[in-house]
Amino acid sequence: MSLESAMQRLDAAWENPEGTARKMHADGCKVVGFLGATVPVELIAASGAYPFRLKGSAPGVDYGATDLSDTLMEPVRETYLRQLFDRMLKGDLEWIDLLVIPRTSEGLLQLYYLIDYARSLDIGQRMPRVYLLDLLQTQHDYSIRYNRKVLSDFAERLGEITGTLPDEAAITLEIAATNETRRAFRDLCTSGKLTGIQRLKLSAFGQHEPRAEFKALIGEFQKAEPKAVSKAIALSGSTQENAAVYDAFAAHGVDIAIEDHDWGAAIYEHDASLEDDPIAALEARYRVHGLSLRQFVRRQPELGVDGKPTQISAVAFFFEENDDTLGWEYPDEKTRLERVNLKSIVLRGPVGSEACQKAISDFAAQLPVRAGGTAND
Amino acid sequence: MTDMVFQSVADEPLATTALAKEKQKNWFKDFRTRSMEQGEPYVIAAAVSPHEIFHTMDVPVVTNTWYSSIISAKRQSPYYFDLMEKLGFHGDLPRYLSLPMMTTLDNDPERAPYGGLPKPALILDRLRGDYAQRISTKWAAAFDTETFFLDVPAQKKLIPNWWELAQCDWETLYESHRLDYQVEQIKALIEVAERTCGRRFDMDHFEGEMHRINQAGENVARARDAIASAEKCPVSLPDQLTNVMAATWNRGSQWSVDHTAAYAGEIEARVANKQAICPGEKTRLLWLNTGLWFNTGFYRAFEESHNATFVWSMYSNYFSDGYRKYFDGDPLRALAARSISMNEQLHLPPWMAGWILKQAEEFRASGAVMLTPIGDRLSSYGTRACIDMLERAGLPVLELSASMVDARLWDNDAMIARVGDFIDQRVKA
Ligand code: SF4
Ligand code: SF4
Repeated sequence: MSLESAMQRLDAAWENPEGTARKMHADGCKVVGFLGATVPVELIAASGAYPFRLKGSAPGVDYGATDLSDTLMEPVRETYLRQLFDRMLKGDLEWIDLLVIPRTSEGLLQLYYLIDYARSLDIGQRMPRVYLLDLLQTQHDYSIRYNRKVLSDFAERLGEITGTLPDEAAITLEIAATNETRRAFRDLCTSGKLTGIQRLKLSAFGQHEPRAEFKALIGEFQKAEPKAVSKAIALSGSTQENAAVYDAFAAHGVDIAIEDHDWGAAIYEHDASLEDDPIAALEARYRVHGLSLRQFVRRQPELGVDGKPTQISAVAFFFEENDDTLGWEYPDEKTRLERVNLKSIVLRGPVGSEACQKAISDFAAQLPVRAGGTAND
Repeated sequence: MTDMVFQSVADEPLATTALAKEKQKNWFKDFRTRSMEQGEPYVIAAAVSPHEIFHTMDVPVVTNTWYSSIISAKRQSPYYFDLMEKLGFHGDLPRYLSLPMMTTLDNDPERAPYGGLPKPALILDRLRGDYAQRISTKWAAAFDTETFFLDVPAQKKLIPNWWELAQCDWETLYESHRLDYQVEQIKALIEVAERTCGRRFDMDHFEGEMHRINQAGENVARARDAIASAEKCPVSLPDQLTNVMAATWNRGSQWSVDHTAAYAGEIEARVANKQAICPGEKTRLLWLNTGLWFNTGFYRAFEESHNATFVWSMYSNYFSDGYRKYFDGDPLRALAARSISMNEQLHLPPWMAGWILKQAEEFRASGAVMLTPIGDRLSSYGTRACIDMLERAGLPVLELSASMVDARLWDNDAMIARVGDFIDQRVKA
């Protein structure tokens, strides 16, 4: 593979994030879809199923209308969930062998119940099979015990789907392989060879494409030259399924060097331990570090995926419309960032709005221009 | 004209209503003396958390939503909303649960209702949406105090007609694995409560509390049956709210048992004496979702104009249907069952709508008005599907969007006109 063909492969997956999973299914492989960044893919893979994460929308596919879901779902819910629910009602996701919904945000949990209700209606006859992964993120010892049971039950359910109950050895192998890929991706992220948009696309790639290809692409991008950036910032806040915010900043010469949302590089920041029993290791990994609205300890937005400071001059906080959760952190974060000489700004969705675009261009104009170097040195 | 045989009590609140208000006022006075002057511990807790633990230890509990409703009733909320924006909290962040914290961040006892809340021994919150933990953590930091977060495993199956199992067969209804978790959690909470409040938790005392809550619940059920079966509604919704909520906040006390008995008795007497709040009543309506705290008079605005009364809201009998938990064995498990699915019963579509339809039938209501809060995503969850289910079952529903605490956003004339049109056009008398 060349860097050029790696880029083409990356763009193709970006345009059609379900393509590979659909093909796998057509070839007779069991396909387990999941939502969010808190489902242990290691377990799914250990059962022999193909794990892939779903988006609400995707470039090149018109998932825009939500008229069906709007009859049952409040307009204040997360856009990606409204889009997903709409597609489910239309039967677009009927083919998936199992759709795993983690309960790591209220929106996801409520979606699960809504699917259940819709099933009782005429319009809900084409729902995919869903599974609620009831992973708690509180740090209580009884939550940990509960979660381990939840993950064991999940393994059993997967075994029913594929005919292979994931055993300790298989899960351990998957943990090791997943950790290795994460590490390779983190190394690439901190090498200064990716633009923000490329990093976002690669992060997403790793969520719905085969691991071997993900590794191959990482290898190709490692061969690229480091890229100098003149203005670099971090992005914090609501999830970004597409590159609209990244594009808007790039249009003003600003690169997003790191992000903490659950489609970005931070998904790959933490490994699962190989010292523990594998279920215990996955439990700890996803309870503590699973990026979600329920997560208790949030990462510091200005740090790279290696936990080290990046060469950014500001942090942009983006909160989607109707955000009721992440905005609580902002005032304290702003104060903390000022102490380390970082500017910050709050952006409110939708990205395409005039107000948001203007805020981005005004903010970009204020940022200092760097003499050279990548965002990591 | 059967109307004529009914005597109007339109302008006569129940005698128990004044007593309930008095009770709350005295409770607050007592709380202030004990916590502020005598330095006794108290706890700030979510409405849907097990206050019983603290009641048993004689530790006062301040409910955050209660304090929030006081702030808005005193028309102080606009000031705190402005403050919120000044501090950098964006405008879509939920306000109902954050107003009380703003009084602490503001730190101006002159302005805060009752001089503001002193430092609590503990802030107890239940994780519902994703933000409770964030507000409580911030609030606790401002007080320099501890937090305890109640988590809850998710219900796997929503068995229909929850209210039929909720009182006696709650083990089946709420799923044993969830109750196991919840009992462990309540035990952990007791340890934290004992440590932070410096008091001992007495199991026998607690068991007595649990029995008294069931008794009070039986009284509320009596009141509910009397209202539902009455030919004309004998008691206004604001009266129902004041009495039942005071009993709820004081649940477990003998006062609560006696008060609910008096409340039920007064309503039964009204029914027997053919007294009605609107003798000309032709239409009965339900009020769905959260209460309109700053304007409870709204519930009565359609009696003269449309002969329509609001006969029910969830506060009318959630105490009897949701709180009562009969038990032979471990009272802690019964307590776990009480608090484990409160929100789900009140807000998840099949459970919420099923219960409402049952009330509509028994109260002979022919329409409903649903308040969908603005700026509070959590409280609007489930409302669309609920409306869908009610309409399918033949109950017309009008949805009103409004803030529960921000009176500035309420256009009273427009809202009255909308409900009036709804009654005229969609509700059959
Ligand atoms: S109406 Fe109920 S909730 Fe509101 S202040 Fe009175 S007792 Fe409290
Ligand atoms: S009525 Fe609903 S929103 Fe209000 S406290 Fe109870 S469960 Fe929560």
